[in-house]
Amino acid sequence: MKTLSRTRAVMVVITLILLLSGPGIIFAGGTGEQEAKQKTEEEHIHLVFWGGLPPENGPQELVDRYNELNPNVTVEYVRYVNNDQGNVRLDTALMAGEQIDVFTSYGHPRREQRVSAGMAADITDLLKEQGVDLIRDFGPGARPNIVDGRIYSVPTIVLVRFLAVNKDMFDQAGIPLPTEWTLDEFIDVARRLTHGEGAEKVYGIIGDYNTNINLFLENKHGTDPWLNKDGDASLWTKESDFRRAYQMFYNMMYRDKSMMAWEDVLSQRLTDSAALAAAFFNGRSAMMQTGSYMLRNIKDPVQYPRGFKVGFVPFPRVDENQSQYIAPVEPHDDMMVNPRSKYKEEAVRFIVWYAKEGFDPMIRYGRLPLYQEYDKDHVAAVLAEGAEELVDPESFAANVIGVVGDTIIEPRSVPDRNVLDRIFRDESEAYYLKMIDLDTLLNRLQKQFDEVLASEK
Amino acid sequence: MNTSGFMAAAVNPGRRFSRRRTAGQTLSGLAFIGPNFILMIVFWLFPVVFAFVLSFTNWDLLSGLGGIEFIGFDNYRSLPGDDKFLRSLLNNLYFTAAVVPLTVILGLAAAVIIHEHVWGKKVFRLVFFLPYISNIVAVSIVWSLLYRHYGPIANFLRVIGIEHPPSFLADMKWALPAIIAMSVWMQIGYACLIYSAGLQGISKDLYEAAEIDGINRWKRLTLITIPLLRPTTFFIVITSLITSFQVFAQVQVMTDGGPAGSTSVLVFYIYQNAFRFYRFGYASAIAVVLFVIIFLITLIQWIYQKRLASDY
Repeated sequence: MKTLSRTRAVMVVITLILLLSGPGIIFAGGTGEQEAKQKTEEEHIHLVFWGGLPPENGPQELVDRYNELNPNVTVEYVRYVNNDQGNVRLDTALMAGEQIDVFTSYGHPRREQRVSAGMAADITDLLKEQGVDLIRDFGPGARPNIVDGRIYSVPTIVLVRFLAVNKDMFDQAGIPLPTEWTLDEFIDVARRLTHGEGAEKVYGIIGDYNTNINLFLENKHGTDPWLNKDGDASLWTKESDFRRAYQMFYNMMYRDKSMMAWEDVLSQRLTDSAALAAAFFNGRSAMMQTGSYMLRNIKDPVQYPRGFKVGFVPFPRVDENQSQYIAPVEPHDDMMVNPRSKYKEEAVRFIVWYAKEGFDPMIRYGRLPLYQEYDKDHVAAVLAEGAEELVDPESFAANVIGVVGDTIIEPRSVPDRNVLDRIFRDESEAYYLKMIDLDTLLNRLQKQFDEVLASEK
Repeated sequence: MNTSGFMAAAVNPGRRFSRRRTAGQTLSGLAFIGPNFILMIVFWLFPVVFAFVLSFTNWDLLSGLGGIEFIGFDNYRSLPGDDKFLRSLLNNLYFTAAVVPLTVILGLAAAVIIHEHVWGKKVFRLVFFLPYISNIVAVSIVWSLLYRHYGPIANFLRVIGIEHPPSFLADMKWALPAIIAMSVWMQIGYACLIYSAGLQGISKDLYEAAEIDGINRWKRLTLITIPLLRPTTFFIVITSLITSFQVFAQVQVMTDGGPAGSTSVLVFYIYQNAFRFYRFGYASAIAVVLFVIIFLITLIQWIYQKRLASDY
């Protein structure tokens, strides 16, 4: 009996020790390990860089090249998928203190959110040390990256929006690729390019969730056309162009039938850009609303086989005589440094090299560098590599490489943008599905947007 | 010699020696369940309590734990005025009201038919059960293909003479029923399996006696099988009620809450608020409401089960 209880006592003690130290292991283990690692790697710096592109679409090659040039640094590229879940993963990893030194934010809403939450380091001085003048080097489009005189992020690309078109269909219909046109001409061209019936039907254009009326109004009204000057109320019922644009899509869907009816878009799941691209390359539509992010698919005839050349067409002007034409060009892909990074200086050095010198591998996959000194001809040459047979060179040069406008899109900061986006998407959908009429739609948008905007003040 | 502590304590409750041993045993018992307990605290209890606390804040995740700001009952107060919340709740009730009865009826029918057939019982039971154990995301993707405008279901309807079949998931009136149909199909196997076990517990004597009395099949079902399966039915109803309030994956994969919000349900709305809008406080408040609903269902179960136990 005695021996038995002694064994038991020993077991109890061991288990208790394990138990008590358990949480310690869980919570303290990480840092101890890191400290040890850091000591052995004093001379060798290990940077972790999180980005949203697949490694094989440029980032891995870029990082490898940097590592080669800098033997004392190893940059490790980690891909997160740039969707809701992926961004939550990045945000929680940043919060939990996982080693992330550099990361890319996509789109100004996410950038603003992270900057205001203190998830991006102030890199003003480090950039100055590297000889960077943000506006001189990256153009006036980088202005929103400066918050109260301090810099928290470096924009690296320009996102160019355009309509990709099936050049053969235009040729067959005897329509020259438009270089400057209006919404009315757009409606007409879409109608003329539509033919066939049922599953064989070819549409002038197919729209997905990203093909929304705002994109067609931006060249006159600027970004977020629905937002008033002060940013505290919306203009849905006040600006007649919204009514016009909604009516345009609706008529194209149901009167001209030159745009796929929304019910069919949903039922065929053409709601995201990948599915839309597949339909376009299959010759199911003559035009597709897209942007430079699609270039990597346009240059990939293996995954997206097609029998035609892709042409590029600018967004139609809202009015023939509008006072200015705002080019659909937007700085994008903001590089940020984690405030908890131990190697901020190294991180900034990497970002500067990335944006100014090392960008070639990214260009090949359709990311156009924002850096002002980047040689335009060089960019065009790298982009055109392997695309000679796939794109129409003239329209490519005019509407992708050398877009001109009186000004470019300057992003505005809007609180709760995700909430507003969802309201806009749901209500527009109800209208396209004929569940509500146009007046109800505009009134509902006005009311709900104003509520959200007011609640944030 | 090897009388276990429990027995020893029970036999000799008064002796000091055994009391000491009991203390030691309590300790060793605790030590054994300890690791499990700690994991439960970390991964279950803490999130539950944290979510409850969060429901009184306007936390947005990004601002970190330091950014938690208490706003009292504001989240709860804005719930009744939130059309999208009410719509999600209504959709959820609609979903539950359709899925639970259908699952029970079809599950019972399947179980009875399989039970009365002499051959292939196991095969059929497995066939019905397969959807239940299949990955829900994969099943949802397959069903969205079936529901397409030119998909098999619509084409079948065209063949039998319906010229314009609904485009199920793309139609605000049909999207939720379409998801319900698929969910019922998934759940039947579960109900069928439990009912099969229940059926085996019913004494054959009763059926033999009924047969001698010349009672027909239908009456046998309504007078013997269904009443004696009452505890089983009750169990299935409760568990399906609870799972039906937690429906999420189908909606997320098949419609993303659309078209135009017509298939939004509670958990989907929680997900949307938390992970798309970063409104973790508000999402937690809805989660607490969901908890209360499920807790009420469980409460009914407890009370009713006690009554059942005293009945038999």
